Amino acid sequence: MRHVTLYLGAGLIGVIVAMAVVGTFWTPYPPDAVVGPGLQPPSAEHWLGTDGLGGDIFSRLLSGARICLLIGIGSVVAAAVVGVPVGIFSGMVRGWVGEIPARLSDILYGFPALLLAILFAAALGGSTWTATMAIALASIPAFVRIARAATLQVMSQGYIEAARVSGTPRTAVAARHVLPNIAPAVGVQLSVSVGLAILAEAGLSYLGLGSGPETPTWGRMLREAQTYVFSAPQLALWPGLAIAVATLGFNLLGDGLRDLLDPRLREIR
Amino acid sequence: MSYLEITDLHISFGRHHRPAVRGISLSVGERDRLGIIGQSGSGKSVTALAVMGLLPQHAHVAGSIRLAGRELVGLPERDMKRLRGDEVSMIFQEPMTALDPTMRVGRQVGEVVALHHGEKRGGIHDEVLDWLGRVGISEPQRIADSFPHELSGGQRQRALIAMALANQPGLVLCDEPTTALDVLVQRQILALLAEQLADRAAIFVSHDLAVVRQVCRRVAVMLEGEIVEEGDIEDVIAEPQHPYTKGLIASARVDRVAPGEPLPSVADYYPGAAT
Amino acid sequence: MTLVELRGAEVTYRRAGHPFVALRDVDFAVDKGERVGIVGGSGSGKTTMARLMLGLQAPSAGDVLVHGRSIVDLPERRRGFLRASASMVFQDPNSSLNPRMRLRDIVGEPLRSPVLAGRIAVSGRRDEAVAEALGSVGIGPEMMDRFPHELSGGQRQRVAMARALISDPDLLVADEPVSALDVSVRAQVLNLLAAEVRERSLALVLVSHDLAVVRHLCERVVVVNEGAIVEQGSVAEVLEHPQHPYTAELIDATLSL
Repeated sequence: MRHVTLYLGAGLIGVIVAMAVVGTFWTPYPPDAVVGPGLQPPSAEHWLGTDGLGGDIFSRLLSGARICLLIGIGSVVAAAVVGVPVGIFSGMVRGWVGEIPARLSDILYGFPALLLAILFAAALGGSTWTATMAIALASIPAFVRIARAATLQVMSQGYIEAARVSGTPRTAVAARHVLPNIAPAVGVQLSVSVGLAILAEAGLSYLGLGSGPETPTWGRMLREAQTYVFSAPQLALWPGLAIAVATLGFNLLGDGLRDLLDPRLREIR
Repeated sequence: MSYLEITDLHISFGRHHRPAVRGISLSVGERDRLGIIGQSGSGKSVTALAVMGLLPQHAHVAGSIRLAGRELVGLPERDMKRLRGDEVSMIFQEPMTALDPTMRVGRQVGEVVALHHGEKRGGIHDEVLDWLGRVGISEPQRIADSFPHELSGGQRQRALIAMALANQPGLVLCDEPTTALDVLVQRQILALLAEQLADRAAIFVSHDLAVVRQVCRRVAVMLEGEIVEEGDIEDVIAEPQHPYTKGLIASARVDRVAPGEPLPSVADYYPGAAT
Repeated sequence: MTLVELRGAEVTYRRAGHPFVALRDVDFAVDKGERVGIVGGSGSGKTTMARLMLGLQAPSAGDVLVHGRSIVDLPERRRGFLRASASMVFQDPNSSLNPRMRLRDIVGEPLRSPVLAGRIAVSGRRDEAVAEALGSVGIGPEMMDRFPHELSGGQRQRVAMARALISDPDLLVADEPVSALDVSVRAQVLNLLAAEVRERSLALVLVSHDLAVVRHLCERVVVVNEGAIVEQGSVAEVLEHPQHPYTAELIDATLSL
């Protein structure tokens, strides 16, 4: 079957989105409350059991899906909004002026999201907001790179010269010719970056650098499960699985899109 | 006996079986050079790719392609791979895309030569230089040490011809090998091909009858997946039978039309021609 | 009246660390309504000459004048007079037409440039102009919303011609306009080009290695080799009695049936 990865990725993302939608309107129990004795095995009342403090795992998992998507997508969209125009500029302007943003983003590339988050947490205190900012900042270089590389490729096409001969100003060339033609590459990067961002968010929450205790993110659930890793390993299983499904889903979707949009794989006519 | 025998070949693409070749039959003798003429979409390149076993996966092939008595339709890719280079090779239109931009030319030719040599790799270097010299490259060592982008279009095409000939294949397919070149280089390359292909079977695919005439003795005219005319190339040019062929010849004779007069177009002769 | 002029134009690149002279000290001018062919092999410098005339490239030395004004040091936003008076048909329509734009937007693009936007203010009028330009190259208004990949090769090049003509230029530069096309559709495109040039009294610069095409469309021819003009004169004179061996070689290499 063709486009297997695309459909599989979309399916996995669909599961997470469904969880987030359901979790927004309904959870069996309040996700941030003690609703029973701790460390209960799965039962009719608590489908996935309870955690060490007596919270309902299923409720916390549903509720965490929304946070995970919000932070993942929000930070990556913010990164794209900054990174893509910078990349286009860098690809369109010749000489050292175009090189500067590319080199700056290479430097930023050297700072992992974790390091930025630690810096932010030290300066501003750890919160959902600083985690999102750190991930967004760390995701920018990927967009600068992909947009610049795709723009350089587009700039070598004849229609760019034709636009110049037509008297089209540079900003219009960027909007009319460059952006639509680099959109597929940027779309692929969006999907892959969201996967990475979700993983980064989980890591930050796990380290206590992200959302506060009142927000039940999957990373925080993992962190709390750590205490019971030998006595109740299933506590780590569910959030771990959710993170894996979300990350895998966006990565597969990205790969699938890449295959779908790759002109080399289009059928010959 | 024919070296290549194509019988009732049908090729279509995709889920809807969009037809590209509709039941053509062709034969090419051991020292025979056949030109296939047609406009884009006529099925000429698809036919060449089918002989090379290079059609995409969603192509449906029916009929028979026999090369030296061996059936190629339905042949597993593993066996086809062995045939490519050894028995049949191809010279492409755009040498820049057919060559690997990251590898020196000498190594690329060497890889083809090595396929043939098997274990004894000793003489490969000399053989590469020998082949580059035989395709008319004046400084073989310098060209061998160059990357494709450092060569001129003509030199690249020569290198590609060396790769196609290096294993002495029985059949060479040429797909518009001079379309990307200017007239001066085109003349050199055509002369080279005419000389190098003299003792082999060859198929030369082109949209340009004047080009094919420099290399081939016979020609088949393809239109909408069918062969509409076939014969000795001089006879076809002198007395074309099909209206499409007539139009093709008339429109190519730009030099016989007085300046200012409209040029005859193929569509004047054959309304179904491409626009 | 001179439309475009190259004065002592020189173009030097650095290629793999070595300076490479693409054009050396070329003087060339095109008058109003004149049809000139520039012929030569690949790498001869003929395309570089065309690109200089349209300001797509700057000379390393010398000057490029359009309507008597130098365009060399002019920023793009002050080249409006050039964009309004000269346009170009490129060799390969597969590359020169944006695959993600509809014909309506491709052909209408010159009308959206600052210099021409004033002429046609309302976008409804722009569609009218696009339909008319497409009509003049034999493409009906029902095709306006098609994408380039839905057209045949000949149709694509005709769309490129419509785009070049919609700004109503004085000069059309055509860089190998039919060499990427099937032999079977070349005649149509050439006939159309000839008809438009005649009807609009356009000046034409035809860059080509095909002497038969140049002979058919042009009055004057300039032969370029290794970045320099080696011979020029009327088409009849140069092609019947070539003086330079390079010209003779080009004529000799041209295939015919």
